[in-house]
Amino acid sequence: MTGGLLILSIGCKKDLSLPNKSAYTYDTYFTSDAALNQAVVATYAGLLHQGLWAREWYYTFDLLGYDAKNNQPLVGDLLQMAQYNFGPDLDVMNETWSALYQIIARANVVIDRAQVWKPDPSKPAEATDQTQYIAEAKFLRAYAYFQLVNCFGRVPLRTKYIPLPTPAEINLARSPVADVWAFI
Amino acid sequence: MKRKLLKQFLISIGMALSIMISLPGFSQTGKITGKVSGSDDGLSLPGVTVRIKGTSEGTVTNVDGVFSINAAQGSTLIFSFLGYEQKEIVVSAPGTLNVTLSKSTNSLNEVVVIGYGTARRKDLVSSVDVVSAKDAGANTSTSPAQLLIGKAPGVQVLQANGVPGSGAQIIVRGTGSFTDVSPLYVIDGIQGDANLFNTISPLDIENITILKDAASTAIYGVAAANGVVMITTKKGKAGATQISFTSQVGFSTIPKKLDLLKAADYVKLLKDVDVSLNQAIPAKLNTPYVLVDRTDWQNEIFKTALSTQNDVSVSGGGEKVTYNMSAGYVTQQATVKDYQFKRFNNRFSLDEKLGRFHFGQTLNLRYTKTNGQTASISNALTYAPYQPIYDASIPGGYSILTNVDDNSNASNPLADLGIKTESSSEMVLYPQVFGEIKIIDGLTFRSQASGVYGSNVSDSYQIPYVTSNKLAFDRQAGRSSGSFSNYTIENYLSYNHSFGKHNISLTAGTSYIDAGNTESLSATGTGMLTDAVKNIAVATTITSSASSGYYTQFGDAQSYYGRLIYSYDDKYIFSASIRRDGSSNFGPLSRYGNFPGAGFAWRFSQEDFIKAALPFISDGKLRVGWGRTGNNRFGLTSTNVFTFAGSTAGNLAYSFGQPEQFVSGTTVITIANPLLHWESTDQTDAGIDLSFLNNRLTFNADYYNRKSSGLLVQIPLPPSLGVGINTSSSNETVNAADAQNKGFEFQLGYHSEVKRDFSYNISVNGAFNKNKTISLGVQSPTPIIEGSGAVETMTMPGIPIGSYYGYRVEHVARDQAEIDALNKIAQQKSGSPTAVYQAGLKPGDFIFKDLNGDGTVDTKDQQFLGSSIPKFIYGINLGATYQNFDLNVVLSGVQGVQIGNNLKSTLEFAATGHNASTAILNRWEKPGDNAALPRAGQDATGSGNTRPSDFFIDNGAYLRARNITLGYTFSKATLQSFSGNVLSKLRVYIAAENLFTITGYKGYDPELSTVNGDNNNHDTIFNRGIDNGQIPQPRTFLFGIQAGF
Repeated sequence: MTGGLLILSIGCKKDLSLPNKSAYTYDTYFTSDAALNQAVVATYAGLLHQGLWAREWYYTFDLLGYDAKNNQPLVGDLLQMAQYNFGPDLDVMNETWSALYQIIARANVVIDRAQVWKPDPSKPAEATDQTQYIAEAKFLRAYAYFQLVNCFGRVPLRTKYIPLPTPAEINLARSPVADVWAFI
Repeated sequence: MKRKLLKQFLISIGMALSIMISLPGFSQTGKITGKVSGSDDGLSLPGVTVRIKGTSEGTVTNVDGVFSINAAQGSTLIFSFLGYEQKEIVVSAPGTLNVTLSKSTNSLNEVVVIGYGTARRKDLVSSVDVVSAKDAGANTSTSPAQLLIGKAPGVQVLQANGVPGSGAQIIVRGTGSFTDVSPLYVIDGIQGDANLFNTISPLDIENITILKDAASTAIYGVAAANGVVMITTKKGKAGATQISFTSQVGFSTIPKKLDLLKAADYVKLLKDVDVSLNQAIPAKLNTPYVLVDRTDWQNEIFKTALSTQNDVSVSGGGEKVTYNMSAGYVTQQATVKDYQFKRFNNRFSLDEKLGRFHFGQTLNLRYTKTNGQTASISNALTYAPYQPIYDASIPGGYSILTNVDDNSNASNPLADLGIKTESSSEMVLYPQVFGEIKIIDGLTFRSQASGVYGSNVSDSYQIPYVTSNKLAFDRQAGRSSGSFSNYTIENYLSYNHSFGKHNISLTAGTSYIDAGNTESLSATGTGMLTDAVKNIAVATTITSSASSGYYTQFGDAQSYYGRLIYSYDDKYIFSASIRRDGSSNFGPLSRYGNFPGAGFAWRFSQEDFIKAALPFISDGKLRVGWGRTGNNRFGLTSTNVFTFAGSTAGNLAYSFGQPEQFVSGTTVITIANPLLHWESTDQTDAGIDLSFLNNRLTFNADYYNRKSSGLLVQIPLPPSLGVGINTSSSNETVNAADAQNKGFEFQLGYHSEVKRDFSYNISVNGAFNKNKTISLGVQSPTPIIEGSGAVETMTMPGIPIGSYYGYRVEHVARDQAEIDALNKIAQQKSGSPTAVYQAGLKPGDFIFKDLNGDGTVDTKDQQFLGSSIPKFIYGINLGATYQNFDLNVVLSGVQGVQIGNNLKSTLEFAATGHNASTAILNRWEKPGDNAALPRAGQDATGSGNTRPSDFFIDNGAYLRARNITLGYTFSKATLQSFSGNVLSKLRVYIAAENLFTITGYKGYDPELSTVNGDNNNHDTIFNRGIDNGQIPQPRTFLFGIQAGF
């Protein structure tokens, strides 16, 4: 009987978590200077996404601000903006909103990981880099919230990147304008 | 005949005498010895258990079938043996008692495997189907799944396609998941998977048992939401060494050809397309060259395929050790050029019984080799009929078409076969071991383990060639290799005890499935200057990629389980089980799940009042059961957040510094779900088993209700979360959806007595199933839209999973007047003077129906068009033996199912120039035409005439004669005369597979699978039943010989 129980216990394994063998994860990758550098670059890269500096940004602000007027052939959502005749389903608005929040999320990733990272004491450049990365990320995040609060007013205030959020954390309500300005 | 009568007479005299002699010595305990043999072949049966009823005393027959036991007169001896009917004989006097046992024919005393143990059929509380391998007839199956077609009610077997070596999908009681509907495969008691299931050669299988309802499957917990398929392989029998040899040869063809246009009609079609699209007609189409039919492309790619199968098996052994070795070699050609499949199977198994120990070892080996590739059927259907096959002036040697000269860029279907060479091979080793110890009387401990190791290599080479539109490709060589491995360990205790009328059976154990490993490396080589050496080894530039992962789709799995079966007086049976499962792919907040199950059965035919009231019922059982099972096969990537470095080069880059150089970044663009867990299925089952006429007529029926909840869906996330890139990939996998399968199954079977060498059996089974998505969750109930080409599927509450969805066609618009009339109605109903009935509608286009009556046709005028999940599946099995002949017929069919015929979008429309079906001759050409098809080339787009509509949804019902086998067994006398004592058995047979199909479907084959031909790896649950030109199932004629030595 006891022999049987011994064999039973051999077949037991308590820890079921498994690492992924062909991709890096959030916890393990951003642990070096070069990796954090890449994370900051990716945050900057958000500025070139659809809805921001690559193309739509200029249409949005020039047409809405009367710096440009629509010519006869202009059609689609850009025409709607020129005529102040758009609703909440305007594609460009969705793109800008998404891109700005992607910058915020990635900046949060940098700030979170860089604060946890311990720079190598024998390389003083790394400590400077750590401060620099956090500062750059904070600036980009503030820039994004600046745009959001000016264009939309009350917006959800995401201050941290949460890798495994619960539904309550995902569906965050909009914060008052004053809170957003304070955060900036 | 006379001899039989004499025998019976002598036996009755003998029994009468023995009764008379024994009367004075009524209460004596004496020694009973005798021989047990089988009634079908008269051979002795070693290993038969002989037990005194009501006690735990017993013995086992020895290698000659002889037993010896001390029993009191008047006591009952019970003889039982797996696969044979149990027999009870009252002891009348000490002395000799010879017994014959008859092979069970699906009867109540048959011993059936259930999860982690066995039970007699009469003691089952749940719905279990046992399919004997012999009942499937002779076939070319390389996969055991084909043995199940049309055999078990509620079990649907869909073959991936007609390519040899392709897998098959087994679907039990409807579709209850959004990620995986494959059942759990258990091989000789150890949990396995589809890959291992396919390593077993069908000739090594004794029978396949299918557990369908949750009272029996709950003990397998999270692996068993879709049923359990258990294989029992043939075991060695003690006695003289038996050698048997089977050899079979078969010819397969594709029985159907589609009607395509000949050259003259083809050229006219292309010219009509040009006129519709306002394009110039190329000069070549006005020459006489294009009016000659040079090649019938379907004939060119189809061929008569040869298949062979040779198999030898050796089994035997003594009282303590038995062995079984089998080896088989199968070759199969595809019915489409030019593909060859070869498989070598080997199986060694040893079984040792030493006192209270019982050990077993098995090694399965499978080596597969494939050569070549199959030509594309859709290419053959679209390539110009005036083209020759070869053209020496084109690099590569095959003719091509160009848009400029021929108005077509269809591809030559035979080009790939000559230009590319491909071969692959795979070796899989699958060992199993077990050890059993009888600790005390009734208590047994069993430990079993299995492992798998496989590796594969494939090579490819292509010579430089030019394809349609003068697209040129250079030489290229490729090689990829991979390996995989994994192991499973299970331990359990079982305890059986009878006291008085009570019987208890307890099982408790653990199970561990390791995640295993898969690794692969693939390389592409270029830069060669000649084709003299067709191997990547001579390439000057090699690029490679690697991947690494786990073998199982769920990582590690750790489980604990227990079951209690209690029966009273063989009349009331109660069973309860519980299992606790954990998997690596469950989120950290929901690591373990509990899966209980319970069932109750009442053998009402054993009640005295039933015996009096309904004496014609020889056995009857009512059963009910409920259980919870789960599905954890949904991959390992949804509970971790992975880094992302830009998938198209440069989409995650920014420019820095004076030179403004772009630098690439890495960040995360996903979140993970900490609550992610198994999909779960609660199932209720109620059934009845009835037998009449001394168990010759049997009837089983079951009603089931499977409610699946927590099905995985991708829900979109609010963009403010900041995940995704640009406006895509912002979603999360959650357990949200619910679906339901409700149905009724029945099976009716009759087997006759053996009369004047003639006996027959017939069995009919059918299953009704109603499938429905109940909800998609509250977080984000967006319908799931999938599909392929002109067939769109929609999954939303109230209709079956993956239902076809779209518009309804009214007819082809005859002229502008008709359109104007419709526009007028639209303007009246909407009040807007510029409203039109259907945007872009011109004469010669499809007019679609205005389903919601608002006067216009828009996206709101779509509805449910049909489903690929059948409402009714059925099978008919007939068997007969007459003297030395035997006949076996298997028919199977489906009703209430639709097919998404996406081939129609190519064959009956012409957005660009290509060959088409003769149906396109009935197209609209000028105003006033009453045509079935729209104008060639006009609006042949997804938002025009080829938008998803009921035009592409066809009736998919069919009845197919799966297998008809006729065999002749030579009598022993004949064998003696020409072979002396060498041959002990010789049977020859002929068989036909898929002999005829009764269907209204106009395509090649109404049997369309759910998988992409890669053995259940990517079940396209939302893309079922869509015909994209898959290779159809062939019709095969076989002849074979079976010999025993």
